[in-house]
Amino acid sequence: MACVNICPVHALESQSEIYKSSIGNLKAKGIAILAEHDSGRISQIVAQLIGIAIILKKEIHEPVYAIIIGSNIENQIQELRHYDIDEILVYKNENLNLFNEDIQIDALTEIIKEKNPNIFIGGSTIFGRSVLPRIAARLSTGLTADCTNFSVRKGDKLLYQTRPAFGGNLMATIICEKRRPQMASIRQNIFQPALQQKGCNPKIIEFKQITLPKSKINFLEYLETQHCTTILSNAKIIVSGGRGLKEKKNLSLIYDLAESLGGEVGASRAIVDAGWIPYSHQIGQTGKTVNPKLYIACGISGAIQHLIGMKTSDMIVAINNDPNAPIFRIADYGIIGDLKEVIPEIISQLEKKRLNLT
Amino acid sequence: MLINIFIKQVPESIDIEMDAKTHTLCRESIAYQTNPFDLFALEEGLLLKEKYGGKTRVLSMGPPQAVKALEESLSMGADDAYLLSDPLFSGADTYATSYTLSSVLKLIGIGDLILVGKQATDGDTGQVGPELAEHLKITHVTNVRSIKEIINGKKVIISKMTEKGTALLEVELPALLTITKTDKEPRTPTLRDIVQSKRKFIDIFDSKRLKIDTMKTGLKGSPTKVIKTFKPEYTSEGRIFPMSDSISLSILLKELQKKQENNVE
Repeated sequence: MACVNICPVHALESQSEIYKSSIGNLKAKGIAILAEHDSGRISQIVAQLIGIAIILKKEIHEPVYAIIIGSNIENQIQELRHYDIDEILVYKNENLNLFNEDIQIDALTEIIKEKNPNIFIGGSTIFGRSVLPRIAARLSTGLTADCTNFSVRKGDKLLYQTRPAFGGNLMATIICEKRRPQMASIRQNIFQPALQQKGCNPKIIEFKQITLPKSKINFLEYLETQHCTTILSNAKIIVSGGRGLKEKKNLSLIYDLAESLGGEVGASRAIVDAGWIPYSHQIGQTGKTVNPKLYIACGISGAIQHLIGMKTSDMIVAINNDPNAPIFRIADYGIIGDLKEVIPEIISQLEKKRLNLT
Repeated sequence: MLINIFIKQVPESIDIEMDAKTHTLCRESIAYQTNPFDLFALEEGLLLKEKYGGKTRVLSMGPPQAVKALEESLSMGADDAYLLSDPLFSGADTYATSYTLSSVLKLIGIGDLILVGKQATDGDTGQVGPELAEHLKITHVTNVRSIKEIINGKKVIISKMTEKGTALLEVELPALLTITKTDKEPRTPTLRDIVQSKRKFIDIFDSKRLKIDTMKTGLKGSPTKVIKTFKPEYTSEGRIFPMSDSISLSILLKELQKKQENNVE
């Protein structure tokens, strides 16, 4: 270590920090998942996280922990008890709410420090994308955002984390060799969710000793909830409209088709900027990334910025009167025609078929 | 009010080529721009300064050509600009980046408010903002749609986009906010603004001036490492047909109906 003598003082400290964390590696054990929840239920992403954890467990033979914190979380703990996991790590505090992330980060970090897991994964949700980076930084470890695939190297149990970058134009496989836990957030609706089972009996471990400071974030009220009720990131079916609608009143076609299919309504940037529909509906680079089973693009030409937000959808249907629209290049089905004729026709046909069935 | 706004220079097109050996961008012939979300953050900062007075500083980390992005910010009205540039900073992941960014504010002052874009269009992680707040030990809120009001220089009222709707929050200062697309379109500088901004000084910090521990910067200071990059295949052998093709239409309708039924279950 020739450099030691000439290094400034804090460089030496940081080397010992790295040294410490690599010692921690040997002891780090277990696969922890962040069980976020809302309105008394665990979030949809949790079953997907448990699904990954169970697969990883088969590879590395380490226990699976679900971490849940909050106030009034009995119901959510009961839900978690029906999954094939080893332990539920619980922290209850009546001061915790949906928005005081600052003190939730404190509580989650304490639990992770105490439990010292090898792997810690959460959802690439608005909550996960806010708290996970901060926890990673506090633990001086790495975090890979928005993963779509995992594999594990046997022996040293190194996690290979694959994620899209450049709006999905590039995939990168990332490792975190020296620090623990290995942290990642997962893209929603890519991974198979675990199913609830009978006879699971995870141990419930309550962390009572954690004390939290007062939060510096104060929730005042909800604004414009009625406009923002679209939960696009979890939707199985999305019908989106774009500039090809020509007039705001034609947006009703999109709503009608979405309703007929039981889907949500999305939008291209053009009609959001035009003020026809709130930003919360926007799909694409400066909007949401979605991954439904079915995506119907109506009057959307398919600029790359829009494609980024939806091209991993299972099935893509495009309706456009321009046969050269780029959207057709990624569409599984494309109808060349006028929206005002095509959409009502589809709705009436679907309606007919439904009546025939019942 | 002292407002620090962090920006990043990103490739204009996200249709990029990677060097298969180094896993870095092939930088030749790439056009760059300021990350779109960062411009919304800058606009919010400029509006706050106009309303409450004070100063806006714009900061970036990157290669020397990133001064272009800072010049653009100056032409839009930012008061001061800082570039953190050193070969020892390159190849940084979000942890090493946020550590490096935090070090400059520890020297020149955290100020009252730090604004960053929600995420950059190249990395798409959205992690640097929260990690920076952690290094600075200040509160952060992500996905901020609008900054409504500053109360006595002590608190800020903001609206945050959530999965369920937009929530109004009150946050103690100093705080870091990550800004999503807002209703306030970033301003376009006039030709005069652009010419004048060229005369403004951009303060460049390397690792020595930052007095930073270079074990914690760049590739060497990054806990994560990219070991492979590849281009995903999106093959589509789509059935594209005119409305009048009733056979194709009926095949599609069957598919739609299947999805509709699965959705109900």
